[in-house]
Formats: sequence, structure tokens, C-alpha cells
Amino acid sequence: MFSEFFQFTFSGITLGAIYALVALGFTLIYNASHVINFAQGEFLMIGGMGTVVLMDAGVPIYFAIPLAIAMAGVAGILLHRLAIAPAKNADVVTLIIITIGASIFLRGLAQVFWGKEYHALPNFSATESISLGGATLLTQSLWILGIAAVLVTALGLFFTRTALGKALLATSMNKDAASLMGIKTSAILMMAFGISAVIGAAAGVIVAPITLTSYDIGIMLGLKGFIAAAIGGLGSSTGAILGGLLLGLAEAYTAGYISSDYKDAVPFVIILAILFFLPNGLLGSRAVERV
Amino acid sequence: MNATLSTPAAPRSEQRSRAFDDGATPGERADGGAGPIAEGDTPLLDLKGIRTGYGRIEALHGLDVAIHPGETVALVGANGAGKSTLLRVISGLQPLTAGTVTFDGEDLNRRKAADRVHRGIVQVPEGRQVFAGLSVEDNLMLGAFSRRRDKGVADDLEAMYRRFPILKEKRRLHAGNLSGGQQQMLAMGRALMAKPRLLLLDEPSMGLAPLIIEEIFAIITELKREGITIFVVEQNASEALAIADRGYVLETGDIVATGSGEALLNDESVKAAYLGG
Repeated sequence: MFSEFFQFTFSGITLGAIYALVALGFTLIYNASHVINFAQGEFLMIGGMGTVVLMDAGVPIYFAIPLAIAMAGVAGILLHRLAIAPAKNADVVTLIIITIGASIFLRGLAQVFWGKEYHALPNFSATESISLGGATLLTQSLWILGIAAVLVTALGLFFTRTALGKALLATSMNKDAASLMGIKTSAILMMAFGISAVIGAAAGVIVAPITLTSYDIGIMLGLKGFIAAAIGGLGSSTGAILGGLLLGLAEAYTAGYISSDYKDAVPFVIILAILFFLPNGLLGSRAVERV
Repeated sequence: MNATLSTPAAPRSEQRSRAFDDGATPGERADGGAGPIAEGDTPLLDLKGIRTGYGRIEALHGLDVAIHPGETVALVGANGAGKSTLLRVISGLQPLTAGTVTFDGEDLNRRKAADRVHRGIVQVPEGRQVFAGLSVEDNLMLGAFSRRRDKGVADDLEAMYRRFPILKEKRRLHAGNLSGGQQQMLAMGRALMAKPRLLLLDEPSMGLAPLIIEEIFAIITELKREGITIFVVEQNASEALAIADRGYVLETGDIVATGSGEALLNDESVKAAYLGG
């Protein structure tokens, strides 16, 4: 009984860590530009599929992973340069539609050049699972939690300890005032796209040994990550992590105690409830503070 | 407010102040809009034929303004005259439809806002616009973003805390938690961290209590004494003209009067329109 609960909790946290990373990507771009980047899921796809393709070409996994992540980072920067930046004075809704278009485009490219098959990445460790207190833990889950923790910490340090991180925060709070500080806000936005692509791709790689990867995994993972971000209150990084974990746990418990058929419905039920009762999310800002 | 800052104080040129005292006579209405320019004295900032607008509505109808090194110049006018728009033009936030902005001999028209800060044009925007969710210290450090590789920034931060002791006391607080007057000091401190060659102040007295306004203008006078070139835009015309070497009066997008600060203060028509009779 308890070991079962422990098992579900652990897989929920693993899943939640992935959603949290996707949600952080959404949050980062949303903060910098108020755009919800629906191409965020495609960065996960590029991370996972890129690694698969590179490994097929004979690149060892330790090089394939960073290369695929870097490829996603470049895709993020190009997305900003070629699709977002040229539409500079367009309103936010237009930009969001552009990101939807970009996601369809990227998915199409992947389908044409990388194929429609599902692929599995090997586990990062040789041992696949260990048992603990009657539950079976996948070693890949430990990798996921560890890497997610490192990424979240690094991102936290970036925002609290570096001038560029603070410049990004300043840009998100008041773009004109940030320009008056000598901050190149367009370059900052490009950096935000690059960073969130890298985070997304990393999530896509570490999850691939468990969930498999294909050209279209970005749709569902992207949507769920967005829901996690919305649960946390778009714009709050802590909220994104919290929302991701909550969503992962809710999904795992539903799959375990009710039926795995309903697992994918959980996020959408939760988002409806959040929109009805807590439209600002758990940690979203209620109102603009001004003296 | 008494301690001096490490900002390099350019000595005030005597020749310059003499040149402006004999400028416009009281009551003179400028026809071209240009202020009195001394021979051989090149302006630090030279605006010529500035036109800009929002959509189809033109906000500035081709105005000329010149600011010389070390000068304090005030631009006064009613709400909606285009004062803030002009500062946004100088900072590069508002695109021009015609005219040129020249700073220190360089044409700035193609320079973006951030580049202009690197060249020394620093603005304290209307309504303070501090970064409310960041700490007071982060706000000050962001002011020095354009010189973030400069070793002297840490010393300047200390100097800024000596100038504004209240900011040191509150340096860990979010800027949004400060009072209006403290936010204005923070916004000015933030701008000074960039080591401005030209400081643009947009309505520094807006929404503040009279006592605080006195304090803010005392700080501006002090900056002026230190030799910083200042362009201050104000609805509070009497305070601004009292500290200014020269002033311009802006009315619905046109400069309608110019002269020494004192001359404008005593000008009957300016008095009637902006100083409450």
C-alpha cells in the first residue's frame, strides 16, 4: 500500500520535474516579452530527436546530447531573429500566433528530415532500475531530478547574481526604462529565447529514455508545460516549478489509482479549475504595485 | 544630500554664463525658436527641426533646442505640450519624422536608445519608473549597466549611498516599497550611476509633496554645481526656471519663448500662462 503510494509519488515528481522545466521556458519568454511561446514544446523535440539523429550518425551520446541542445538554442535564437523580431510592433496575440506557426513549421521539418518513427534513447546509467522500500525506481528518474535541480539552480543564480540576468528582469518589468539603462532589450529578448530553448531541449533529452521521442512529442509536452506555468501563475519561476510538480503528481496519482486512460485529461481538468477559481494562478501577481 | 559624488566635475565656463546672460530680453517671443548661441561655443546637444508624432497626430512641429556643456536648461509647458515626447526623442525611444539630433558633434539619428546611454545621454523618466520588483541596490547597479565592466562602479555605489543615505538604509527593499520621493531619489541615483554627460530629467517633481519637491530641486542644484549638463522638463515652471541658466517654453509642439531662466520667470505672458499669474 505504502510502497505503491511511494512509487506513484516518485514517478509523479519525475514527470513534474520535466513539466517544471518546460514551464520555466514558457515563463522566461513570457516575462521578457509577454509572449506565450507555443513553439516551446518543439525545443524538447529538437533536443530528443536531435540526439537520436546524431547518435545514428555515429556521434557518441556524450557529444550528441550537448550538440542537440546547442542546436535547439540556435533554433530558439533564430525563432526570435526571423519570426519574432521582424514583427516588432505587432501586438502580443499576433506574436503568439507566430509562435504557433513556427511550431508547426519546426514539427514539419522534423517529420520530413528525421522521419515519423518513435525512437528510444538509452538510459544514462547502465543499471535501469533499483528497488527502494518495495518500490522500483528508474535510475533515469534520478538523472532527471538531478539535472532539473542543476538547471533550476543555475537559472536562479543567473537571475540573482549576474548583470545580464537582472537586465532581463528589468526588461520584463519595464522595457522603456530598461532601454534608458543602456540595456539592448532586443538582444535580451533573443537571449531569453536562446535560454528557454536550451532548458526545453535539456528536458527533451533527459525524458527521452523514459517516454520515447518522436517528431510530435512537442505538442503534448508543450501544452502540459504551459498548463504547469499557468497553474503557477504565468511569470513566476517558483510558480512554474510548483505547477510542474503539482501537475506531475496529479497525473501519476490519476494513472495509478484511477486509470491511466484519464492521465492526459488531468492537466486540462486542472487548468479549467484554475481558470475558474484562481485566474492568476497560485503565485501570479494580483495587481501592479505602484506607489 | 551634502556629500559630493565622484562624478568628474567639469569646471563651469565663465565665458559661457556670460554669453547667456545677455540672451533674450524679457517678453521676447522667439521666432525661430532657437536659443541664444554664443560664437565658437559648440552645443553638447543640438536638436534641429525636430518633428515627431503618434500615428497621424504630430506632437512636435519642427523645433530647435541647443544645450551647451555645463548648462542647466529647463523646458516648461503645460500637460500635453510635448515635453516628455521631446525627451523620448533625445533618448531614442521616440522615432523622428524629420530633424536631427546631434550629440557632441555626432549625428544620433540612427543610434538606438541603449547606444545613446553608452554615449552619456541618461534620462530619469517621467513617473520615476524604478524597477519595482528589484531591490534598491539592484536598481542602482542597473543604472551602471552601460559601464558594468568598469572597476569604479563599486566606489560609485558607495558615493551614491553617501549622497542618498536613505537609499543605503533601504537597499535590500524592493524599489516598489519606497515612497514617491524616495523613488525619485532612486531614479536619479540610478541615472547618475551611468555617469551622464547629459542628464535628462522628466518631471522630477511630479506627484510629490512640496517639502520633497524642495529637496529634489536642492539635489538638482547640487548636480548643477558639480558641472553636470542638465535638461529638465517641468510643469512646475517656477521651480525649474529658478534653477535653470536658460529656459524654453513649449506650447502644443512649438517653442514659443526662450531666454535666461530669470528672464522667463519675469516674463508677463509666461507668468500668466504657467506661473499662476
